Amino acid sequence: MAETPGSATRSSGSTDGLADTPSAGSPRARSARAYRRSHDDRAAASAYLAPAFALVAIFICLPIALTLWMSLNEVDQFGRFGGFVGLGHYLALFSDPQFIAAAWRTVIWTVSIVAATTVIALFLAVVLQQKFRGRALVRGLLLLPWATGLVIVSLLWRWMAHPDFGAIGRVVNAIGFPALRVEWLGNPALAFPLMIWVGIWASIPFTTLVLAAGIQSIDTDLYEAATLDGASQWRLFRDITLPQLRPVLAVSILLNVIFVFNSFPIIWVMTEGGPAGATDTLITFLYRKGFRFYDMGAASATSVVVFAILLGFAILHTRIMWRNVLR
Amino acid sequence: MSIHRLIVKSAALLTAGIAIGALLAGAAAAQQKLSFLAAEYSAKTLPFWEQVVADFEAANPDIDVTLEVVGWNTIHDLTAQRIAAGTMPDLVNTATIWVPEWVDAAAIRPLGDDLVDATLRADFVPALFDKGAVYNGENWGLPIAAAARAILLNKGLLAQAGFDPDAPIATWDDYRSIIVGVKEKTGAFGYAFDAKGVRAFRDFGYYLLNNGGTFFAADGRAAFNSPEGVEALQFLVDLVKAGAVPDPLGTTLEDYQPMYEAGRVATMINGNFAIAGIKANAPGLEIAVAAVPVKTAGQTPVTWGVTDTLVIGKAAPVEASRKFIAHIFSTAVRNQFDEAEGMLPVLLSQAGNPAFTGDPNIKAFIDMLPTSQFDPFHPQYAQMQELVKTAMQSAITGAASPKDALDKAAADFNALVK
Repeated sequence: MAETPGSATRSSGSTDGLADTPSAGSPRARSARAYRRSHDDRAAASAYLAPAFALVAIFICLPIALTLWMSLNEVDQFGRFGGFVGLGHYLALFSDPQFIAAAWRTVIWTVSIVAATTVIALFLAVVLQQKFRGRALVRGLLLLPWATGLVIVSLLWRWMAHPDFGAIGRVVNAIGFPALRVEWLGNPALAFPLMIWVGIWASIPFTTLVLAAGIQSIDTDLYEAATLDGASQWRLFRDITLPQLRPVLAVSILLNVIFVFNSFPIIWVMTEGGPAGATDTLITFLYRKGFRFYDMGAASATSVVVFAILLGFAILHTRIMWRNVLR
Repeated sequence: MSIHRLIVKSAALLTAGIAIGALLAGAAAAQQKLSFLAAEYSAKTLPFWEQVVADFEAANPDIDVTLEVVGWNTIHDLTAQRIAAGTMPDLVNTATIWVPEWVDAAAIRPLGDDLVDATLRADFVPALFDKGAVYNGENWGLPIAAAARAILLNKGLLAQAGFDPDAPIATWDDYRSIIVGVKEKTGAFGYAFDAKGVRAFRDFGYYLLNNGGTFFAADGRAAFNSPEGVEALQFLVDLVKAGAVPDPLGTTLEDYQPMYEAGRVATMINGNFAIAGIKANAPGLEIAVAAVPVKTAGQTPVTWGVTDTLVIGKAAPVEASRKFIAHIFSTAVRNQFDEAEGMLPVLLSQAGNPAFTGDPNIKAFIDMLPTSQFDPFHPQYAQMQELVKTAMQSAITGAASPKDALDKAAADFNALVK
């Protein structure tokens, strides 16, 4: 790291301030060179970083600022501003029972999917470390849901849930309920859990892959040493795998929360948030405000709330998890 | 090579380049550009328009048409985004109910004599041309597709249940007894409707209109929560409670049309355009067409007519647009389009086409046109669709009574009306 001019001067300890033109080898000259060099480095760094900063400013900061501004105004579908309303959209949102219900539903949606996904994926990641016949095939199959687009996945599940032609109904009929006809998507008490399962199913491949990579990076000496000391498989998992995986788990949970919280296609394709908003999450609620009611101001306010929630979670999560990791 | 010769050669090359560029630019300037955004009705739409555009460009080499064909689910929002970005296409095949939105956004221009000549104007079916896209006293487009909605019956299932499939269905009670009777005697659902998708409001509207109700009052506020509307929604809720229809909360038209084709649903309300697809997917199924019944005998029956409109962007080049309109509204092109998509004729000169008169089912739709009522215009039509759908869902789940559900939707709608 380049020395600061101040530290160079202090470290020399011999500057008396009388020498007006310091010689090339004098401490003051060295300090000036160091200053110039560090100045040049900063200028170069700024030049190199400028394009990235410009992109961030144009494609991230500007849209965020515009969304904030739109949330304080009436804006129609053509982007025309109809007047400043201050916090009007936010007040309307927080007094709307549909919004509050959608917010709670989003919490249930996110927590259930991320928690179940993490547990199942951790189990699968540990199992996939073992050597067994057909392991490569299982690994390949595991990635299939991830390789398929979420909209396609949702359409497939929607068809599987069709009460007359769907595979789920066939299975229900085959296992001892031949006359049972279940409307999976018309009843929110069935539709929401089914969509949570689809969310888990679609999230497992990514999480398993991340955790499996994390497990592979754990030093095998630790396992050998523990095994020599007579540790059981459970102790190996609890006292070596889990603590060593903590940074990876932190990242996978953070990413999954953001992905799942923002997930749109599963619910929109399968129920559109219905019936009567009973399976809405904040994201489908937001979409309906923007693209069914064409109230871009209210939709912007909803997206600012979503942004604030996710930002708050990311900061909190990062602090807690990384504090533990660094400790 | 000497420096001098190099300079001379470079200059010669540069001059030649500029000359070629100028020639190309001149040619490009002579070529008029015309953009056309078309809606996709079926898998036949894209090849149809590609052929029409190719034929047009061959006959008009000075006009270059940029064709875009997009699905009905995206064309509304895409058009709005283009308007917001200032890139509205010159010609857009849009749903007529959206015309007020494009007018209020100052994105389209009224139809004028400069765009449609008198001969073509006189050839349009008057009911479609005169009522089609008239909003705020001006006509904003040309009817590009016309359809009516009626009940499609599976003749076999009705006969199996002891009903005469060719007899008209006069009242709601008559229809209810068919629906429930088919379910009891055949096990198939008697009817299917949609309370989930974008067309849900229509399934409510058939009964609202045939009970003397309307969606909007004269002042633009909600009228769908009238006693007639409440009775219409109650009729649908009762059918669900009777177990005679597949759950409409989990069913859209895309779900129940295959059920109809598979013989698991005996009747549904659909457009004339559905017949071709049903015949292709279920060749053995015999279809009969019946008008939607009124609530009680003596009321005026209403056939819900729906048109789509070709609107003209504000900045559209007049001469190229006029030529293209004349081409796509020629009798031959219209016949081709209507036959491919199963639409009703929009031109008087199509009347002799056996495709319309020879098919008894299509003829049944044409015969209903005198009682047809088209979509009313309202700048908040899309919001009404969403609110009515939500009210249907609330009433069907039992979260609210039909009256309370419609009253809430009406209150929410009136808050949006400026």
